This record gives sequence, structure tokens and C-alpha cells, in this order.
Amino acid sequence: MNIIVCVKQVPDIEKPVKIAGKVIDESSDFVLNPLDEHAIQQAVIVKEKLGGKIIVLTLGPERAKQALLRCLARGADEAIHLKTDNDCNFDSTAVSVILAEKIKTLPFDIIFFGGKAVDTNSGDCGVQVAKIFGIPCIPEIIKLEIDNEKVVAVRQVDNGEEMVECSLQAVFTCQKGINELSILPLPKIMQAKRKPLKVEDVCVNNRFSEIIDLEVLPNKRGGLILEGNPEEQVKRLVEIFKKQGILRE
Amino acid sequence: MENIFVFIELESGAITKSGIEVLGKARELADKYSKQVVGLVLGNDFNNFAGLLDCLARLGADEFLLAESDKFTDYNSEIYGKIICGEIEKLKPQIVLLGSSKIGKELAAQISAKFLSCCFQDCVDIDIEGDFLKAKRLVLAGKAFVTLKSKCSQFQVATLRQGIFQPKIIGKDAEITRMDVPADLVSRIIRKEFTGRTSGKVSLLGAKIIVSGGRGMKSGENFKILEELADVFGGAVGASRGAVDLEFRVFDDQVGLTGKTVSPQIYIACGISGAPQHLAGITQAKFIVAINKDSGAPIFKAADMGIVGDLFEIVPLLTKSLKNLKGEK
Ligand SMILES: Cc1cc2nc3c(=O)[nH]c(=O)nc-3n(C[C@H](O)[C@H](O)[C@H](O)COP(=O)(O)OP(=O)(O)OC[C@H]3O[C@@H](n4cnc5c(N)ncnc54)[C@H](O)[C@@H]3O)c2cc1C
Repeated sequence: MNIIVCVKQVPDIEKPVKIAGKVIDESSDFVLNPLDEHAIQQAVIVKEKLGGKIIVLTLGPERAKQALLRCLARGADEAIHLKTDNDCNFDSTAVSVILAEKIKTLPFDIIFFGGKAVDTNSGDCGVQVAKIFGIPCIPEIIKLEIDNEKVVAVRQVDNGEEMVECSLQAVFTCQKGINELSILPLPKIMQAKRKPLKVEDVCVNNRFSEIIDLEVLPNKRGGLILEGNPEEQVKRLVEIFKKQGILRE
Repeated sequence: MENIFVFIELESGAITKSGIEVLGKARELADKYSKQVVGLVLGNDFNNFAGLLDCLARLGADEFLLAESDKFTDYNSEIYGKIICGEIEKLKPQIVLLGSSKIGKELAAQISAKFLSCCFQDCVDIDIEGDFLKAKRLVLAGKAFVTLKSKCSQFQVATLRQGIFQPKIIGKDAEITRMDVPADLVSRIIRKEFTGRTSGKVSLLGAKIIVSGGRGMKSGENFKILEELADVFGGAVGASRGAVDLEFRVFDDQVGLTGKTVSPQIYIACGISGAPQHLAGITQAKFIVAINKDSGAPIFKAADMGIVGDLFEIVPLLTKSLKNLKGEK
């Protein structure tokens, strides 16, 4: 099985978001996108069963190398860093076009993506890359079984779960729940540094949208704690609901 | 005149609430900037849903295309994508709008890849500036808004978040045209099984009031007290990932980063600690109430109003006083 995993480095959302102008402040903490971590893990699971090779691919600035190293530590065999200086955040089509261009030069049976990135909150790239290649995409899978060219996957849909069968080549995007992440032991993190990591400079010429504004939502919430015994607390809360007029109907 | 193309999703033969909202917004933009609205509906056996066509006709489109085939009974991303992209290719619309359901988002991504255009998902606001679509979306785990502007003059794709845009009823009936559907529709994706999984009665998306429970609920049975509270308002019941992982609730009820992003008037979080991944789903709630026994729980910082206490005591009390209040009226 030739497996490609597309990953992205994102700001750590456990920390406060810092913005510089219209982009994320570079002094923020960055991590491998959490769902991409499940994508790489799933690739490792498939490889363990069927053999093959895992190439992990990212598009991003210099710092995105850290995300690749983490994937190599998780079990990817090779990494390719498509290095950009202009971050094409929020322009999913631009990213997909460049990823597809590179993937075209690589042999593959399966491409994994994370279900969506925590920064853009779109989940477009997997679907877009599949469409560019004209191959099936099963987004947001929570189960995957592969046997002799036949794949059965369970995906989350709007009102439930759907089990589908499809042929390869195909793209899958991974949702939380598809696998458990093991803790990365230090030796693996060290070994990762010795695995092949190719850097290729790319220029994102073709843009489909531009950022006009990026604003952090102010925390306007009062955070008021209601005092008193439970009866008094509930009474005050009901007063507030009444004032808001939602109890009318 | 330039076209705004709208894909309308059906659910059990009925037009979805989100579909009505998207049509409403499309009409508003069309009136403002003199454009035409063309809607596309895929379904099976429209004659069995006669009411549907009458209802559709006045929701804002100038024209409706109906595509009928037994292949459309269940959603198939390849087949739907092929038909929709085929129509878009013929019509060459300036703008393509869909609802931001999982289906809508997936189709939007396909369309943008096929026609190499922008793709704005789950927008809370859109407008047109010159030839270009401008969209506002929630990003960075619900912590920021980004405003984006398209650089493409055609096929500009956006999906609209549910519960934000206003439906419209218009006085003139839309023209309804039946499309020819190719007979040889095949897909490499085959549906084997479907498990419907809504345990709550009211849908979280678009709900005005949501009562959510976390790990602090201790069991699935205990969610009954949240259902009773939600019932008083006709609201919906949600859950944290913690509660879903413990199988207190099904995934469909999950609110947050990997679950649903909701925008109710009131969100009541019971026994939820307030992890950033949970908060990511509720930043658009108008008013957040937290009930938690740990005064140090981060949920209190993210809430408008908090009660430090045992939810098993507070929630039934709250339900009772709200019921009494209703009874008085
Ligand atoms: C990639 C990723 C994606 C994620 N996506 C999501 C997501 O979409 N949604 C989500 O919710 N989480 C998500 N999480 C998980 C998230 O980080 C938290 O683990 C989860 O939200 C915790 O759930 P909880 O608040 O119910 O549980 P806990 O953190 O265990 O909190 C339980 C709370 O209940 C309180 N409590 C206990 N008993 C009582 C009582 N009797 N009365 C009152 N209060 C009581 C406790 O004080 C505590 O604060 C995600 C995590 C990752 C890594």
C-alpha cells in the first residue's frame, strides 16, 4: 500500500489566540493539527496490516517542519515539506491545488487527511484533492477496514452513521474516534530526525480568496456567579430568563 | 443577468429548514444586486410530495430545476456531485450557495475544486462587493471571525450556517423545470448500512435553547433531567465529548470542535468542565449558563452566568420553577 498523509501545523487552541494584522502571530505556539495526528496513526495501522510505505506531506512555512517530524515519529517513512513564505490560510482551494500537483508525482493507493483543521474549520482539502484526481472521498470516517482492494468505512453523516464500501484509489479524512493515539516514546522522536525529509520551495501564485479581516472575539461574558442557596440561585436565574423574554410562548 | 445557484437539500421528501434559509438569503442578494436565483433539487418520486413543489415555488427562487431518479433517494457524494457540477457547468452561475450540513459542505468543496474557485464554509454573513463574494466565518476553534473576499468572478461557493439567515416568502411562483437525468449514474461508493442516531427530539442546529450535559451527569439515564428542562422551553439536549465517550449520549448530540457548532439564545452547560474543544462549539451562543460543582472549572469563565452547585439539585429545581411560572400564565 502506498499511503500519503496530508497534514497541517496549526495554532495550539488550548492557548489564547494571538493575531498580528490579518494573520496568526508567529510567536504563537503551533502544533500538529489534532485530527491529522489521527490520520497519520491510521496510516500506520494500515501499513502494519498490509505493508507499504507512508509519505507525509505538508504545505506551510519553515516552522511546519515540526509537524512533519511528529508524523515521522508516529511512523511515517518519508516527509515532504512544501515550503511557502506566504501562508495561504483560509484559502483551501489554493492549498489543495498545490497538494494535488505534488501528489501527482507520487505513487499512491490511499490518501489520508484529518477531518478538519482547528484553525480554518473547513475540512475542504481532502474532498477537493479527491475531486481534482476524480477519485472517491469518504470524509470524517470513524472506522476503516481494508482488504484486497476493497475498503469498508464508517463515516459520520448529519443524522447518523453510514457504512460505505469503495474502491481504491481513494481519499479518507479522519474523525476523532477512529483510533487511539499511543504516547510517543522518546527514542521514536529521536529516530524521526534521521528519516528522510525533503524540502521543496513552492510559491502560492494562484489564490482564490483573500483575507480582509481577522478579529479575535472579545470575551464579553460576565462570568457572574450567582450567590445564595440553591433555591435563591435558581430564582435569580429564572428572573434573568424572564427578562430575556424567552419564556413567553 | 448573473445567476445565484442554490442547491436545496431534502430530508425525507421535505425541504430542510436550512434550505429555506439559504433561498431567503439568495433572494435578498438577488433583489439587492439584480440577479436571478436558480434552485436545484435532487429527489426521488416528486409526485408523492405534491405539497413540496407548491411550497418550494414561493421560497425565493426565480426558477427551480428538479432532478428525479431513484439514485437520489440516499445521498451519494459522487452522484450528487456529478449532477450538481454538470448543471453548474451549463449555467455558469456567479455564486453557488448551499446549507452548511455535512452534505452541503462536502458538495461545496467538490464544486470549488471542479471549477477552481473559492470555498467559504459555514458562513455567518455574506455579501457581494462588485463581482466578488465576501464572507464572514468563525475560525480558530470559535475564537475569531475571519472576513474573506473571493478573487474569482464565477462559481464562487459558500455554505451558510443554519439558524442565522431569514426565510422569505415571495408573491410570484418560481418556474419549475424537470431536468433530464442520465440513466447511467454509477458510483464507486456504495452505501451498505445506515444507522440513524438522533436520541434527542429537537435538533441542536437551529435550536433556541440547548441544555447540555457532560461527564458530571454520571450516567445516560440521568440525562432525563436535562430532557425535562429542555422540554420546558421546547429546546434541545446536547452533550460534551466526555459524555459521548462514556456513551451517555450518541455522537450526534456532541457539541464542540469535533461535534456541532451551535448558536442558541441560551446554552445551559451542566457538569461540563469547559475544555477549549467544547467551548469551540458554543462561542456563538447568546447567553451561556454554567452549572458545575467545581468553582474553579474553566466553564465559569466562558459563561455569562454560573451556579456553583450540584447539578442534580439545581436542574430539577430550575425545571420546577420554570414549570410553575408557565403554569401561572
Ligand atoms: C481533537 C480533540 C477534539 C475534541 N472535540 C471535542 C468536542 O467536540 N466536544 C467536547 O465537548 N470535547 C471535545 N474534546 C474533549 C475535551 O478536551 C474534553 O475532554 C471534554 O470536553 C470533557 O468533557 P466534560 O466537560 O464532560 O468532562 P470533564 O472535563 O470530566 O468535566 C466534568 C465536569 O463535571 C463537573 N461535575 C461532576 N459532577 C457534578 C455534579 N454533580 N454537579 C455539577 N457538576 C459536576 C466536574 O466538576 C467537572 O468540571 C476534544 C478533544 C480533542 C483532543
